[in-house]
Amino acid sequence: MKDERIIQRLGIVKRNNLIIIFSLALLSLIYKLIFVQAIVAMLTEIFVLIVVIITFIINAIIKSKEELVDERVYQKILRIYNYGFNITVGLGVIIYFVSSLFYVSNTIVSPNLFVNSAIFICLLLSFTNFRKNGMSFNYKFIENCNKQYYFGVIKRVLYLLAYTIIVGLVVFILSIIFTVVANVEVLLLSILISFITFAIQYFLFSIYEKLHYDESVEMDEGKLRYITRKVLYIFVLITLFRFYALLIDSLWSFSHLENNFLHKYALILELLELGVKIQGIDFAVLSLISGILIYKSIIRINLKFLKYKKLYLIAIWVSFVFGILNWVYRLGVTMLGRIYEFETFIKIVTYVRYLNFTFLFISIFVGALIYIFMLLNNLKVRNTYLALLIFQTLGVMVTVGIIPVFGNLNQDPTIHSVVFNCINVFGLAILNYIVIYKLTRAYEIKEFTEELL
Amino acid sequence: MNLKMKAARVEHGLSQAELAKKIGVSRQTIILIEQGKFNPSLNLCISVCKQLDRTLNDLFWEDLKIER
Repeated sequence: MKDERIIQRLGIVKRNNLIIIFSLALLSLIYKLIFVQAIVAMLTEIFVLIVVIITFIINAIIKSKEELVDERVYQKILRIYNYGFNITVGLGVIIYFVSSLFYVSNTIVSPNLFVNSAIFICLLLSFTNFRKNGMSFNYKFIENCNKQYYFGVIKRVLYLLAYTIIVGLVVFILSIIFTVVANVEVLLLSILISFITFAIQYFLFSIYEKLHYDESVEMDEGKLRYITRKVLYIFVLITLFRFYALLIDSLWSFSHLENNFLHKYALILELLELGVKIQGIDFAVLSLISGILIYKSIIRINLKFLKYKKLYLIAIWVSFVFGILNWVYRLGVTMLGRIYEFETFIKIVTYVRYLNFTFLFISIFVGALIYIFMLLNNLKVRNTYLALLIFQTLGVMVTVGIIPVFGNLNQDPTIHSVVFNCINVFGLAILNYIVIYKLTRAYEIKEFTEELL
Repeated sequence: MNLKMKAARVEHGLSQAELAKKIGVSRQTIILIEQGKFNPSLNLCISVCKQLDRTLNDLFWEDLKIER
């Protein structure tokens, strides 16, 4: 398919992506100039900045040579953005891992510490950029049937694997030729981890995109959905991650207990726990997206909720900020332990814990206010919402220790407490989903069309 | 909105996806042309006209009231 619109928009998307990459590289360079001060560590940023500047200069020259920037010239300019982007990303990644050979420390996580989150954020921004320009990430095969679509996605993952092998080979060959400071095996492993992370994230995005595309076709054909499959999909992803995080957290805590069979797996669990901490930001972003998608579903279906949209948006952003702060705290808590003395450290941890509990109680209080609002307005969903509220309150009370079911959960984890937490995570997710489903379903299509008219 | 093109397509019993496939563009491109959010090239306009048995004037010429 040689779609002139796609060729044109692709150039615009890649130009915007170049601007994003340029900004990130500039910020990273400033950070490294202040804190790292090693030229080898800055090679990727310097390369990216040079290529992006050259791309924009070439286009400025082309524009200045032409009297009138018509369609032909415009296409030429967009083609150059395309080349610029491919060179920046294609070679930038190789330079990043090659430069890691000469300065990185010998730990498994350092090359991947923030790279994977950066990959996720870039992927997300790029995805948004595509959507804004009326394009799909997998525009080449999005219109195919499911089987052909996922075959196309797997083919792309295989191309990515071939690229990863090339990067790995370059790193390996250079490590033989030159004297390097980094542990090559660890670096190769980190390249593999980056590939796996990117492949999984790309695959998850592709599933979302296909659901979105199919739903937009259904909408065009006049089939109206209440809560869409793509919202459910993000819900499932977040719930599974919460469950995984909970499981790793619990196993990690168990591994610290003496005479526990998990004790010998402590190192692996430590790494998995670190992975959960790092991935926390990705899921804070995903929660924000699901919140916005639900918001869109509500205003599309239930016009009466339009006047409360500001409140709902504030709630989404507050919980997002809280999620990010929690993520920063979880990442930084080990560092705090090293910086401060034990007593001060315990004080800080206790203070943050109280802050967390306060926030939880405020959210329950707000929940109670919402229930009163539902009662006054006689909304059908109020009973399910009450069940959700009671379930959430009980969960908080058990966790805090107001209801002493399992003793002090924070010190001695037991199998019962893990099972309870699992039920809590899944129960909350299911009840939440039912509430949103009922809320968006409150209007029958007939009423909806009447209101529109 | 290019209602003339939409009407011609419906008259031919074609969905947006079917017309897109016949011309060799994406469905999204057809949607955007019909919504007036994308200006197609002359070649693409001709392809659309051929598929819908219409002339360029029929589908893409807008009657503008010129104020003097």
